[in-house]
Amino acid sequence: MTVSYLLRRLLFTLPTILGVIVIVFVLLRVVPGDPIAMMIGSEATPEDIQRLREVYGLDKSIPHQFVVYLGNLLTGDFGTSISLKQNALTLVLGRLPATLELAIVAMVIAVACGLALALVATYWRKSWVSPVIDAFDSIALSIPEFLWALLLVLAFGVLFANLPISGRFDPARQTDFVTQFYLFESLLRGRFADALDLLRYLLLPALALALPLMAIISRVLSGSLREALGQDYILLARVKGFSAARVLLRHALPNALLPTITITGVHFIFLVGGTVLVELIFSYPGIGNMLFGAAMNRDLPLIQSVTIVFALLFIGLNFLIDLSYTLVNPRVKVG
Amino acid sequence: MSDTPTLDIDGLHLSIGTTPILRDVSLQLRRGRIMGLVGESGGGKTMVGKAVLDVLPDVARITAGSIKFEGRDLLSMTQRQRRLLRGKSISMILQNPMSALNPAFRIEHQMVDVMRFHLGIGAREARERARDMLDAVQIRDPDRVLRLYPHELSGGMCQRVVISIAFSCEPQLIIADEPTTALDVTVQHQILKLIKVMQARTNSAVLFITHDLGVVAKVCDTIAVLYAGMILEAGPVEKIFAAPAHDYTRALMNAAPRYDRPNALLRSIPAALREKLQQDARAYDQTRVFAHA
Repeated sequence: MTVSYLLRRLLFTLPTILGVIVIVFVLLRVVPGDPIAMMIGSEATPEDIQRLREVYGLDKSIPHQFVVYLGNLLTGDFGTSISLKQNALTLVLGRLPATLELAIVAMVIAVACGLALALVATYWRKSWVSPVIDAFDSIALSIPEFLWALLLVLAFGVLFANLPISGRFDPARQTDFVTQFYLFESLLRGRFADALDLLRYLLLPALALALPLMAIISRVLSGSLREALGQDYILLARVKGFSAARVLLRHALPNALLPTITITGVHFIFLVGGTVLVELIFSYPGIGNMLFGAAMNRDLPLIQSVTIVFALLFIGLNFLIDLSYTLVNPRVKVG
Repeated sequence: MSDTPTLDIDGLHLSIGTTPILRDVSLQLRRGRIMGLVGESGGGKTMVGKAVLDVLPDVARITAGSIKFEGRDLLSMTQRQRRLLRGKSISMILQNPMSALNPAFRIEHQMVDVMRFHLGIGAREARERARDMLDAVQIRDPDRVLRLYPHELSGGMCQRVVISIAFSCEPQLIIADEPTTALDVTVQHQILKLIKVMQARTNSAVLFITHDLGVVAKVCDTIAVLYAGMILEAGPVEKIFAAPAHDYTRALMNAAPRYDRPNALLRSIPAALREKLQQDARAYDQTRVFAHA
C-alpha cells in the first residue's frame, strides 16, 4: 500500500462529491415548495417575499445561484440556515457526533451479534439450532429499521416501559461535556454512570438500526463459513487433530470474513442513511432529525449541508472499507 | 519390535446412505512399509483413508468391520481420542497441495501450529523444527519460504510443505491420498522420491492411495487392488506385477503406459469385465442382506 495509491483513491472521490452537490442543488430547486413562503406568514405582501428572495439570492437563475453556491462552498461557506438563522455547517457539525455515536453503537451491536449468530449456527449446523437462527434472521431482515423502531417503542416504551424512548440522555442529569461525542467522552473520562445513562437512551434506536444488518451479517457469514468448511485446507486442519471449534474459529473464519466485510461496509452506509427515520422516531438529536426538520421547512442551505456531509461520510466509509480488505486478505494486493 | 501391524483393517464395510461403498475391505500394513492402494476413481480408495483418520463425510457410515492402529481398536475410541491421534500418530498428505494449505496464513504458521499442538513445544523451538523440516524436504532458503503465503508458492513447493507438515510430528502412519496426481509430471518423480526419503527417516508406514501403477512400482512394497469397494488382489509389488492373479489387475496394467514396453498398445478396461465385477459386488450385497435378515 503506497501513498500514491491513497492519493489516487482520494482524487477519484472528487467527481463523486461534485456530482452529489449538483444533483442535490438542482433537485431542491426544481421540486415544488418555497422556503420563503414557509418562513413568513400568509399575510406577507408580494413585496416582502420578493425582498427576502433577494436576501437569500433565490431571485437569480438556477445556474447563477449554483455558481455563487459553489464559489461559497470552496471558501468553506455552506450558507446560512433559513429556518434557524445560523451557519448551516456549524449546525450540521454540531449534530453529526450524535448521529455517528448512534451509527457506531448500532454497528457494534450488529457485528457482534451477527458474528455470534453465524458462528453458533455453523458450529451446531446439524442440530435444530441452525434453522432457528435462520428463521430469526429472516424476521430481522424482512422488517425495515424504521418499523423495528416503532415495534421497539411499543415493546419497551409502552408494554414494558423500562427503557427511555426519546432523546439522548436524561435532561435532569448535570452535564458538562466538552465535545458533542457524549458517550465516547464519558467513557474516556471514566464517567461510567453518564455512559450507562447515554447507553440506555441509545439502546433502542441502535437496536432498531442493528437488527437488519445483524441478520445480513449472520446470513452472509454462515454461507461463507459453510463454503470454507468444505475446502481442502479445512480437511488438513482436521487431519492435524484440531478441535471442531478451533477449526471453525482459526481456520475457516479468517477465510470466510472477506465477503462479510464487503457487505457490512456497504450496509453500514445504508445504516447511516437509516438513522434519519430512526432519529425522528426516537426524537434523537442527530443530523437525521435535523434533515427532516430542514426538509419540512424547505431550508435549502441546511438540506444541502446535511446532504453533503452525509455524502462525504459515505465516501470516507467506502474508502476505509477498501483499505480493510488488504488487512484481512493477504491475496488482495493494491497497486 | 513387536509383530503388531501398524494398520490392520479387517472386514470393513462402509455405506453412504443405503449404497455400499466399501465391501469387506481387509488390509494390513506394517511399520516402515509402503502399501499402494490402487483402483479407479470412485472405487472407494479415499474412503478407506478417511475412515482410518475419522474424517469421513457426514453421510458415510461404517456398518461392519474393524480398524486397528498399533493393536488399538480405532472404532471403539471416542471422537476426542481419535482426534488426538490425528496429526501426531496418523497423518495425511492431501491430493491437491494448492488448496490444502490455508490461504490466510503464512507457511510458518501452518507448520508450527500442528507441532505446538501435539508436541507441546514453544514457538521458537517449533520454528526451528519447521525450518529443519523444510530443509529435509529440500526447499531452498527455508527462512524465506516460512514467511510466504501459499499462493506465492508453486504446486510442487506446496506439496513439499504439505509433506513436511504430515511428517513433522513423526507419525507411525501416513495416508498419502494421490499426492502426485495434481502435480506436473516432472515434479511428480521428485515428490515420490521425497516421500520415500521422509518415510525412511521416520520409519512410518504409508498407505499410498493412487490410480497410477507406475507410481506404485516406484515407491510401494505391497499393493492392494480395489474395485467397486472390494479388494480384488493384494500382495508384494514384485509378485503382483510379475504375475497378476486377477483379470482386473491385468487389465489395469495393460491400461497404463510402461517405460519397459514403450510400443505396447494401451487397452481400456473391458466393459464385460467391469460388468462382471459390478455383478459380483451386487451379488455380495445380496448375501449380506440375507445374512443380516
